[in-house]
Amino acid sequence: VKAVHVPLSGTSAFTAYVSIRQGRPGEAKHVIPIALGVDHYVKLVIVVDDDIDVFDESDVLWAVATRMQPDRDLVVISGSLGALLDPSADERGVTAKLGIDATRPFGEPFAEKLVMSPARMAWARALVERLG
Amino acid sequence: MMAQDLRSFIAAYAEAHPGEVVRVTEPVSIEYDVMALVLEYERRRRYPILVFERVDGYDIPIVANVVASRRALAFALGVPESALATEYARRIKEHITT
Repeated sequence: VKAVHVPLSGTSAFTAYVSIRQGRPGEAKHVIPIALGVDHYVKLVIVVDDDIDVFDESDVLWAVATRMQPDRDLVVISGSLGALLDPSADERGVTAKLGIDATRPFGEPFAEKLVMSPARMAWARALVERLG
Repeated sequence: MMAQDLRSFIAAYAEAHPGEVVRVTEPVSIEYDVMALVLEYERRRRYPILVFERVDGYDIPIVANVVASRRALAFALGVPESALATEYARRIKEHITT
């Protein structure tokens, strides 16, 4: 595991983003129940590769958009222990849980993530500061 | 109807929305500089039209982000932003015949 982010958008702890460096096939799916089990509040877990910044939600959603296949990458657990504070849970606080595996398929060739070089972005930042 | 050339559009847009056209006078390379600046403005949630006046090795300037914002696209179509979606849907069906 490289990083974990429990974002503000998940209000208290309903959402967790986990980035991992996959060492063995199946690891991303393995992480889902582990993360869900950390706290009964956790309802949605999104697992991404270590080139994704879990503290940048748009980067996480980019991984979901480009690396996730719904028929093989979604894990749903029904009737699990949730939070009474969650208005979508039933009156006993029982909720379903969702894990999304947004990692690249293990050990297979896959499209590269293209990023601008840090040097050019630093140049652009300085230029925007000057231009206003 | 607005004049149908890029220079007139940029001039009219700059007059209507001062500050929304950014002129870059320092030299830039053709390779990554233009996109790096677009990305940096995007990171700041800003989408000005960018005019690169000095491109290394070329006499022709580069214009980027021409209709990157809803504001610029609405301006180009001559409607308020609130009417942009319906106007766009209407105009995209109007084929230009030559």
